[in-house]
Amino acid sequence: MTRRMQGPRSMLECWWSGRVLDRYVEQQPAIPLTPAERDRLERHLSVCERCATSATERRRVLAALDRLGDQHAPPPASLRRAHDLVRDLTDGDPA
Amino acid sequence: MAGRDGKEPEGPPGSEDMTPSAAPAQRGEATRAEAFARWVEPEVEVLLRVAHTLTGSWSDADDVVQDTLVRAWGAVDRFDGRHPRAWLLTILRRTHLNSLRRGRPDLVEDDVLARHRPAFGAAHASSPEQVVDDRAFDADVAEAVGSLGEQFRRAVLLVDVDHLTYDEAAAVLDVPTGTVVSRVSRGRSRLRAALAHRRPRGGSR
Ligand SMILES: [Zn+2]
Repeated sequence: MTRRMQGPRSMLECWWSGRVLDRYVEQQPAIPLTPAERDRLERHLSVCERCATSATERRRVLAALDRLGDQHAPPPASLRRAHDLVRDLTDGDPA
Repeated sequence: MAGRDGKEPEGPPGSEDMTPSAAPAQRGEATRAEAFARWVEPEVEVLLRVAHTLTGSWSDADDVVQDTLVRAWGAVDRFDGRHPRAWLLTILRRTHLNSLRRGRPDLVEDDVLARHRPAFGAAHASSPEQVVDDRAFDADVAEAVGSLGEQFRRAVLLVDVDHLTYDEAAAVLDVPTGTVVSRVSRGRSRLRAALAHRRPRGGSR
C-alpha cells in the first residue's frame, strides 16, 4: 500500500526522481545510479504513488521497445550473406 | 582450417598451426584473417540491425553491411583490436552516409514506422489477456515511435530497440554520448506523452 507524500520535501523528491528514473529502469544506463541514489529512489518509490506509476510506465514502454527489437531481427538470408562475405574476405578470395 | 590448399606450415611435430616457424608474410595474413573473423563474426547481427534502423529496409541494410565489411577488411591493419563493435559501427555510419550521397533518397528512413509496426505473432507475456493487451500496446508504441522526429527516433531505436550502449549509438550517429543520452531521454518522454491514453490496466488510480 502506498501513501501519498505531502509538502515541499516530497515535491523535491518527485522532481529528483523524475530526473533519475530512466537510469533506474534501463538496462545499460550511460551513468548507472550509485547505491546511495538507488536507495534514495527506492525509498521514494515506496511512498510516492505517482513516481511508482511513472516507473511502471517507463518499464512498460521499454519492454514494448524491446519486443519491437524482436520484429527487427535480421532475416536468416541477410545473416548468411554477411557471414559468407566475412569467410570470403578472410579466405583471401574476395568473390 | 589449416592445409586448405594442401600447404601446411612447417614446424616441429606437435606444434600448433600458428608457430613462429611459418613464413612471416603468410603468418601475418593468417593472423589478420583470424583476428578479423574473431572481431567481426559476433557483430554481424548488430551491424544488420543498425543498418536496418538507418536504412529502413533489409535489402538496403544488406548492401550497407556488405560495404561495411569490405571496408573494415581493408582497414583492419590500422585497427588496434579494442572495441570492435564501435570500430565497425563507425565504418558502418560512413558507409551509410556514402550510400546516401550516391543518391538513393528512397533509403531515408521514413519507412521505419511501417517496418517497425509489429506483426501480430510474437508473444512474451503469460496470460491471454496480457498477450492481447501487449499486442495492442506494442502497435501503439510502434506508431508512436514512427511519429517521433528523426533525431529522437533514431536514438530510441538504436538504444532501446537495437540495444546499443550510448557510446555505440554515439559512434553511429557521430554525436557526443551526452547528446545521445539527451535525445533518448526526450524521445522516451515524447513516447510516454503519446501513450498517456494507454495507461496500464488497473494502473493510475
Ligand atoms: Zn514522487
